[in-house]
Amino acid sequence: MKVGIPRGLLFYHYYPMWRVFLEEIGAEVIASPPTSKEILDLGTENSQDDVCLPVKIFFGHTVYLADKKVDYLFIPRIVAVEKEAYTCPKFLGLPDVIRSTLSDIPPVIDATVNVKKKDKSPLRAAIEIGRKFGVPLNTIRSAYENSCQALWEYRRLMLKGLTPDEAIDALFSGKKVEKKESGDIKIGVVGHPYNVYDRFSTLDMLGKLKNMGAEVITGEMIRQEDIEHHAEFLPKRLFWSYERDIVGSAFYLIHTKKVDGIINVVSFECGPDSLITELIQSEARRQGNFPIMVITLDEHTGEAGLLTRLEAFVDMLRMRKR
Amino acid sequence: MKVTFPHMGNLWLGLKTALQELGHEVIVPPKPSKRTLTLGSQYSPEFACLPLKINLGCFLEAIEQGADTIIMAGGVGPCRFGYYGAVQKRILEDLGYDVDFLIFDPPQGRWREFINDLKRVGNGRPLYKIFSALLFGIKKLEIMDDLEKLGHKIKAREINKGDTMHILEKTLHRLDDASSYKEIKRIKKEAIEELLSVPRKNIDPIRVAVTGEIFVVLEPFVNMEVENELGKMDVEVERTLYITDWVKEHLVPSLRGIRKHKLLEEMAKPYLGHFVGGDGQLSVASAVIYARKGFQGMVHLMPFTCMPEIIAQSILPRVSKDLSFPVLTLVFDEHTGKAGVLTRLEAFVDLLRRKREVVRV
Repeated sequence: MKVGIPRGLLFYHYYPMWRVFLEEIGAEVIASPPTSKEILDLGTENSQDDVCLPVKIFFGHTVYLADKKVDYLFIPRIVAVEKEAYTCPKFLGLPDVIRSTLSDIPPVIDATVNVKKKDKSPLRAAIEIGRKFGVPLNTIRSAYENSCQALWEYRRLMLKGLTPDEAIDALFSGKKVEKKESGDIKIGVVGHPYNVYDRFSTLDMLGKLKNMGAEVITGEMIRQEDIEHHAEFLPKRLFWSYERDIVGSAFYLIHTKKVDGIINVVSFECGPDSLITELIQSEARRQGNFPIMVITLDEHTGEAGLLTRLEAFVDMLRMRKR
Repeated sequence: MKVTFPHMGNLWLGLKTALQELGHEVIVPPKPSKRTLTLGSQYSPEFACLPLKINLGCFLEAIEQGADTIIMAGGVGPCRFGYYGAVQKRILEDLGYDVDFLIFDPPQGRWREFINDLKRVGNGRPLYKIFSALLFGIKKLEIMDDLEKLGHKIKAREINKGDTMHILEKTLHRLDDASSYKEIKRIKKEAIEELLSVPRKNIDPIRVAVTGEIFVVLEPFVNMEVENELGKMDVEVERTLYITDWVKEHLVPSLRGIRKHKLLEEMAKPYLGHFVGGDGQLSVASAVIYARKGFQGMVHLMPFTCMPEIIAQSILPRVSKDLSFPVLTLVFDEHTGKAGVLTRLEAFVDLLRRKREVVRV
């Protein structure tokens, strides 16, 4: 049984967990390859105009997997991952949007995770999926526990400074963890992992920054306690979990001055980003005009324009430091 | 304390009435206009949805007129609207305005703050006074809603286009001035009589449902008066949401409300199995409901970048195809032009007429 996991959206949050779980209940997991021009084109052709870039990319990965004749597509409905918040509305409707927009796709595994409800906990979702394939309860339970282990390990590796790709490599193919190089300036890159770490849609922004001699710190390299603590500075509790993490990490970097400047990566038309970017910028202004640059991604983002802006930002930070 | 609030269709009528009953000085922001939109978009985040921009424009215009306290509804997601207040407050602070925000979130265990805010709105009056003031405001809105429902039927058939509109506008202002239940009852009766005496054609109009994101549906300035324009084309409109539905759903949970909600979920389920915030699920359910009711089509309105409606928009083509029920989605932002909307509406109505003729033949 082949289960396809599209390399987009929450892939960057949970892939190791999903993979370990599915493999232990006897599935063969196939992740789509990193985003490419071909995948983006598949996505833009097959999705509605108004969805955001990451969703278009997700569509591309899904179509790619469907063409590869997997038996199932793994697109769970992640509604809430903490009691007091939801995820972005697009995750609430994602399996439905996929099913109604794409015809002729393999069946979708769309178990719901909503920790606000007792019967929709991640474990319950795991059991629901396992039962579907006739896996005994004991196996499901141990698979679930191991998958949680994998998730913690994944997060621990990212805290050490690995990108999700590097962490996944380290977890599954046992590649050695490379020591992080340091640069003369530090730049915080905050935004949704599915934007920040997609090397195609960001035109390898992280790599470009490293080449310019900057050390990059992303939200995943910041401890959750620090994020939580600094998110408390928001005027009102933010009701989107992942976005709250982004604001928390941005505030942490601004307040502690751990970096020389911040790049906020957002995608065109992103609903939550439209509000949190405003909050982050406003906080940066209030904290003595802390350097911040907002990069908006869409399917037309051009390499030259991006490079110029990155260079200007890095130069500016260097000048300030002198 | 000079109180103001954002516009959303006729909402001002109810809020103004309730707040005045409680002895507040109320500043109703000018009706949303090009200027409101320009002011609002100038200071709003670029990709914020249109309601936020219009809200902010309303506040800025009300502040010009001396308002110092803003009353606003909150929310706990996942629609962006719940966080508007917090962001707008920050924007106004950064612009150097000193205004108070009273944001009403669902209490969720924070009853003390909720009651405190309520007391401030109550202006020292006991709780039952606050409720009776609110009820009076809601009653006025209910009457306006009823009249508009009737108006939609008349509009499609009236001979002199604009008669109905004129009566409704006149009634709105009469209701605004009214101060007793007796008076508003009389106004309602008179308005119904007037509406029924509008000269009409004897036709069987095309019937179209209008649904979508509540703010865009309810605010005629924003939706380029879609309902009126459809009326001018001899189309009978049925709106899927009204202001009193919204107010009641958020203030007084009722069995009827819960049942209605269950029904909507049931209808949307084959296409959208989960709520997505805002009115997204309603939009999908409406397509199913109105197709079954024998309507000829549906117009789906949404603000640019609206998250719940983008989901609905992605799913509606499938519903439309399955039920052979034409759906036109119109997306509104600060650059939307009336001519473009009209052309699309005309083409859509033409299509519906042809389709009906073909079916009849």
